[in-house]
Amino acid sequence: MVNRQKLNKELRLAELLPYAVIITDLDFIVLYWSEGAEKLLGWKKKEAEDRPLSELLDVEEEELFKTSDVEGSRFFQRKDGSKINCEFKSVSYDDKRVFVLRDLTEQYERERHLESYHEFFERAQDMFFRIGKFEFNPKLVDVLGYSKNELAGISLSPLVHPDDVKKIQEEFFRVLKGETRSYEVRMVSKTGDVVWFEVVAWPWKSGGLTLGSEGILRDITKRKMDELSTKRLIERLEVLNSVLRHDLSNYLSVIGNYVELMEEEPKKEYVEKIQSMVKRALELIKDIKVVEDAERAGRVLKVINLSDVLINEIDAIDAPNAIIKADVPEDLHIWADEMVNSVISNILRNAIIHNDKEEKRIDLTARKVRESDIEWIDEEKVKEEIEWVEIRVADNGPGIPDDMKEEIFKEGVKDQTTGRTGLGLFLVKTLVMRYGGRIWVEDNEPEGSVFIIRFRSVENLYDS
Amino acid sequence: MPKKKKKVRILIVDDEPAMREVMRLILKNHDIVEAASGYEAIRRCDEKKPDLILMDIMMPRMNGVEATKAILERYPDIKIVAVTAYATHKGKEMLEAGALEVLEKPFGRKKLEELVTRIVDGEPTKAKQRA
Repeated sequence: MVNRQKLNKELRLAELLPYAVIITDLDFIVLYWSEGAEKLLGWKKKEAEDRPLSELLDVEEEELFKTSDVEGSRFFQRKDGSKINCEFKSVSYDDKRVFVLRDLTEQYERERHLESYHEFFERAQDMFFRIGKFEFNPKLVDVLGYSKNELAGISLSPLVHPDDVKKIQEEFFRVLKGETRSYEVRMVSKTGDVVWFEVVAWPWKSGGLTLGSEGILRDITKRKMDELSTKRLIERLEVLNSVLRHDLSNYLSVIGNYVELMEEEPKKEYVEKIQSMVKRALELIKDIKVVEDAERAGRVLKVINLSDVLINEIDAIDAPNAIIKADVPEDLHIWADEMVNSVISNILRNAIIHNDKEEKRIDLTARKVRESDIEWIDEEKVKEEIEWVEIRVADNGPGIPDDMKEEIFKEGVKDQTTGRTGLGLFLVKTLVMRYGGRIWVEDNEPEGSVFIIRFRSVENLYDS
Repeated sequence: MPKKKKKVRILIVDDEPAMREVMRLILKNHDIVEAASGYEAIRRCDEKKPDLILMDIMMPRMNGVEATKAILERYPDIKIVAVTAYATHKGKEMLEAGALEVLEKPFGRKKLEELVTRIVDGEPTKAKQRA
């Protein structure tokens, strides 16, 4: 027979615990039922003592009635029939069994909410971040192209466009001072693409301390690209309008005046001049159309076999007194589009037209080069280590003065040999830049010029 | 008796060779010198000072406005006429730089001849009228 008085006296401390403490005999008949158990489970002490525990808690006997000590968490039934989530532990103590139950309801609710927020975080189409330690949601992984593991170990700096590093640092320090900041920033994806983000950032606080910055990122790349496209288009239209007016005004002046001169003194030479001006006007209009097409071509690049293009364009040259030597490996593949033919054709024609020698020599070499490149092109591409396909077109012409080496690629620059406005090289540069490439000119030795074009190399996806 | 046309030294500055050539033909009764750029124009003035310069504006490296300022600084008595497709805004810059007139392209032979005659004879120019 259990001495309940003695038991209650011994278990006074158990009454102070915020848990349910239940003691049974080895047959799981309740000997002691704490105040905590009353609160948690609803049964009063007198209702519970001397009753089987399984009856009070509505549990399957196998779960609790094991000879060895058990612990776990599960739902138990209260007196009023409601269920309560409890963590429990049972231990053997002499000829008794002691059960301790802890209410997990609040914790359970908290965990459910956390899980719900976590799912929202994982599914969100905007990006969330936290800087102190760099944390982010999965969408940022998708947008930047890195794996979660790659991003996890990284600091923020390598992901940010070099031109925006200072800006992001300044914004970060303002947030640390307590401000909420809204701004635009560029980051760089794994493939080297620039991604524009709209950022809203606020202080990340915990325990009254500011630990860093947290906020939302929204991908606005498309909008920015559209803005840049529109801006470029307007600039191009202004340039083309300017070139058109300038050159066509010249051609019409010349044509009109030769017609008047013809009225006074008909000369074959005047007729030839008129014909020449008409031809140039038509060529100008053709060039403008090519530039227009280059602008409209959009950004859909593809794999182009540059070796084939080079051979075809060299074969198409009609210049009997030009000697063209070509060293072109097979299967050089680049990112470009069909207009790359215009690029090569323009460069070759220039090398011939501007050559004042009786015997015009052109040496064309093509090769792959691998070189670091940290320049940015139109804010669209960046790479630290790039494999290029480099074309060098060297001639024995008069050369290009140093102060003209950059000028010749600008629109509206007049060619003193042909009198044509330099839409050709401007077009070439426009296209090369569109392909993510580079173009420049150097002096050839002992005389002449070397035009160097680099295209982005790509392995032929169709080679086995 | 018809007035005898005065023969003067005219410097034609234009980066378009065909333009220089046709202007030379139209003004063949004068002493014509050519320059294809602003820099070349200054050199020609230094070699032998012209009476009149027909100055294109849109040229690489040194445009017509810059060349006009540079030339008038050295030779303030040279008469300069701007010849341009951009009479409205660039023409205004040339007048402010010291040009006497603006001849808009495309122009006809007669217009060029009349303008040169007017300038050479010292008749009022647009710049003087404005002043």
